[in-house]
Amino acid sequence: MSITELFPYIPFTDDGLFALVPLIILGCGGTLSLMLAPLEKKGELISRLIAMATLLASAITLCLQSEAQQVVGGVLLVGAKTSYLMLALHVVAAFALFLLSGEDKKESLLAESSPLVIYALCGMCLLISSHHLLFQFIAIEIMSLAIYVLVTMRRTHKSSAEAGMKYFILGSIASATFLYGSALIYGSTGFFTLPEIALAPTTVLKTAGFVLVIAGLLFKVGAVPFHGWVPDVYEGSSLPVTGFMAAAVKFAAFTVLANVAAAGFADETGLVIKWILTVAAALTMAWGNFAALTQRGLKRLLAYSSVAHTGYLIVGVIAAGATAGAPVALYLIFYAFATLGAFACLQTLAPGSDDVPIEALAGRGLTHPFTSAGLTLFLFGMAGIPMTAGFIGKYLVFGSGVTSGHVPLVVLGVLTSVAAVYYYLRIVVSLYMKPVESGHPAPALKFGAAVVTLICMATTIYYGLAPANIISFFEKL
Amino acid sequence: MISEAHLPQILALFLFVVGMTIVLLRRNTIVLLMGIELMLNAANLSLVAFSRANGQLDGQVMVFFVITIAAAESAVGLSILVNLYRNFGSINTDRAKSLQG
Repeated sequence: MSITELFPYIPFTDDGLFALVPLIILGCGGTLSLMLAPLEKKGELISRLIAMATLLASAITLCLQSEAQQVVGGVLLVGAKTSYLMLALHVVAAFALFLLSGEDKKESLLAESSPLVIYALCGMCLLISSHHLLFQFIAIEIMSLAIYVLVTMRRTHKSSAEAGMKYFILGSIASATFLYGSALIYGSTGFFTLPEIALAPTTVLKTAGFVLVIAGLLFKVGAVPFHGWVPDVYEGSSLPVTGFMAAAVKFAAFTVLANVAAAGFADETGLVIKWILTVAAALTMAWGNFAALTQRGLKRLLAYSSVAHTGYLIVGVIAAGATAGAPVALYLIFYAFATLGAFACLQTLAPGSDDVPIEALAGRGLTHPFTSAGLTLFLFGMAGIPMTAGFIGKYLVFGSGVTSGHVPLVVLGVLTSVAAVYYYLRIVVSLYMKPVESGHPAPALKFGAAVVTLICMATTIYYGLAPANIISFFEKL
Repeated sequence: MISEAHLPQILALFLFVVGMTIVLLRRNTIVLLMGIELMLNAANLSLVAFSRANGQLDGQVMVFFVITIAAAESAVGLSILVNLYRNFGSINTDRAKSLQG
């Protein structure tokens, strides 16, 4: 057998090459920004501006491509849906850069934080479009390695060093588990690409591989019993990084979890996967909300609330089965804006990245009316109160759960989200109904935080009141 | 029952379990990094052996990517370790317990 038969050369079509342009721009722009970051004068500003320009250029090329196609022999599947999800991630990354620009001096973050956000985004975009287990592993690692460094970036804080180490060790176990699982799936089916794996016959080896792969991904999304890192990492990293992680990492990891689970649901392997996901969803919803009730610190409370949202999203993944699952994607978009907005508000209301108790927000409703109103709206959105986007997301996910016959899970989900209203309202009560405490100085509203808060508020209200367009857009795909 | 083709897979499973045990039980961060390498290389071994058994090259080519990723991961891990040492004066994970999990 000749070498050309062993490695058949697949020429790129023009469209196929164009589909890769956003990823190429992100990679090159991130590297350029990284190279200019150590400049003594204005290095920080230059690298941030280049990062912003990279985001803009990549977003424009994303807008220009529409038709669904396979790239690099089916490794990447791009189309209108992936383009839309990637655009949402670009917006989240731009917001993270805005928030970082106010915070980096105070937290002694290095100028390299902006290129790291771009690299993480590059990994996420690859992750969303990839339907090849090994490339998903590579994308997960590109994303995670950047995030590990971002978490540890507050170098002088003990909590940050400890959180980074914990996240790194546990994250590496999860990645290795994912890799070993994909090796087993490959051994059983002879394929790495998900559409072919879905068609391959069921064997014990394939099922074992799927169990390992799903376990690795459940860690990445922070589902119980793999949620131990979430509160620590949220507490240890600086606020913009926490917001970026809560919105974007969960977004990308859930998209790939939904893709992999959809391939697994195609045959008898699906029974095992369904069982695992059902147990994880029930535990995550119950434990996430229960633990959030007992938290005193704001960041830890939001961390456990993010764990609880993971539970609702897993219900959506189970309900979607072998289909694309529009409710999960919509929920992710709505949740990303609400959670990023909440962290932007915290940056104004509770300065500094160390965790503060809920009481530190007392009386801020009068001194900071705009930001407090924003935080209240985002918390209502996370609680799923009508007229906000969060309600639409919950309604769609739970609705799909009932339609596909998972009534007990949905009942548990609705009950726990009612309990969740209690801890969200605790923050709101503290904002508006307690006298101002001395000793917790509040800084002025920064430009970056104000822009992010305003746009997230507009998104949350708009999709809460007029969701018909985006729902029909995703259901058509 | 157990043929020659199964032997590398049994070895890979053994290495993976050993790596996982190391990471879960040991407290020295350098040893933890070694355990993670062991897990990744167990997966590599499994990929190469499956690739040979399936008569394809896909798996073997992918191993190169994984080796590169593992090197990057070690580099990041070691730099996080240096940072941990600067803050806590030790590389043992039981010293770093300021967060409550």
